[in-house]
Amino acid sequence: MDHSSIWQKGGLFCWGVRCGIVGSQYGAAGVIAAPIFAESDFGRYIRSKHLVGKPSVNNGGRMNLKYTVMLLIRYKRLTIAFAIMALVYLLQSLLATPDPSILHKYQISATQLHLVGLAVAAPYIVIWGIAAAGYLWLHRYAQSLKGTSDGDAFAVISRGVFWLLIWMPVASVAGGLVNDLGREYPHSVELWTILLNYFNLLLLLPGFIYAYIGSRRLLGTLRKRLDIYSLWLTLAFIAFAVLYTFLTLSDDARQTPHGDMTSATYYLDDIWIVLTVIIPRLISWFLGVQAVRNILLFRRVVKGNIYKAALNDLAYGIGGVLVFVVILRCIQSFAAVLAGRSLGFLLLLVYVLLAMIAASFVYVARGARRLRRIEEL
Amino acid sequence: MQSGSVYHRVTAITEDYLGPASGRFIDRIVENHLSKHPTQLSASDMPKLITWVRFAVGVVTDDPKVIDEYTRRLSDISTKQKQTAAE
Repeated sequence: MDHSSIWQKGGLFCWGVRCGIVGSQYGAAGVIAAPIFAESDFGRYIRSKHLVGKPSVNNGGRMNLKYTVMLLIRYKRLTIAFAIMALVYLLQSLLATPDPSILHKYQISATQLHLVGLAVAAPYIVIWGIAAAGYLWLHRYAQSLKGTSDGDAFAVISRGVFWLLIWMPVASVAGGLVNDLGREYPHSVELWTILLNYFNLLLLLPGFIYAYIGSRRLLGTLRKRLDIYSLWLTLAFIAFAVLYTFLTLSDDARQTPHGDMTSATYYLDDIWIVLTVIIPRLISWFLGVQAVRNILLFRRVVKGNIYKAALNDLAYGIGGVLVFVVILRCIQSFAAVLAGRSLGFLLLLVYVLLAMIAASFVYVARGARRLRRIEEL
Repeated sequence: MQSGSVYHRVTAITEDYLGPASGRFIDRIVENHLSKHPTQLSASDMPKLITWVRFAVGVVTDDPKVIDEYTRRLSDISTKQKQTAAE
């Protein structure tokens, strides 16, 4: 007899009761038979799959948390990298030389400014942690399908989500560094601003490319003729692209600082802004939006009602991550203009978008967990 | 009804519930619990297969109608096999 715990046996008993209720052919016999199940082949099967506990589709939160911690330990390089970036970001907030103009403008001390910086940094770090956990669930699910056609597709999508994940902390740390360098060496602000813009672009581009390629492979597993390109989506994106280009080139601060701002947005001639910033950005965003469409199309067309129900959260989660990152980048590219109007509103908007990205990663984790459960049966 | 066709029929029915995971699901149950190669699945294995399917699928869905419908369709395979053998 397995002496692991009374809890396990209790869990198996509950599972037996549940089978008695759910399994119509067992009825009340299921309740009586439950203790026998605990030591039967079925009981050993359930224990071997670590399915003891709260045997339902929405398993106990404690088991999910335990598994998430296990994932963070298993993938320690990613966890350590995130911890280091979180620490660097915190130190940047605490140790950065306060801008005297800000202290004067808001009538606060350097210590108070640092505390505000800490209050801003803390939610960012929590959001990064949630996103990292969500990614690890997706990665683990993709790994469990290694060698299968849909597994290969999810592995590529997972790689794309990874790039979007690391963009968040790396871009924040890099942005903080550029701000500090700009204050220390004002004559180099132009160079650091240009480099930061390209750095953000190069960090996000692989994410959208991988997500798109993975989504195409996912559709390819269906062996059906599908309309890959949506005319309406393409037309809508063209309209958005025209509007975005117009707004970007209308930004008075795109080449030189304007008004209260201490730095320009791009420090590039318009032709280089269009060719090297706007066009690559729009291409990557279009790939991201197309990936969302492909994933949701897969969810709609794929067979298997139990599989679909499990896929729902994952599909919407990945879609949410892609869409909200695009929106966030869009907002950030107009940050200089928006900050001039209302800094508080801009910060609130950025926080809301980051929270939505984190919520999307929670959905990714939920969906990956449910799909992985099917693969464990 | 040949073994290969039983397996293919079982997988085809399972695909309506587990989609792309159907083949892997049936393969695991047949290999781990019936101790045979999936293509060796025969109509005589169906009762045991159905029992395991019921327990396994019961973990991932709370809908008893789906489970009942799925297992009923699987049991129809062995019923049809008996009818074919009688003819």
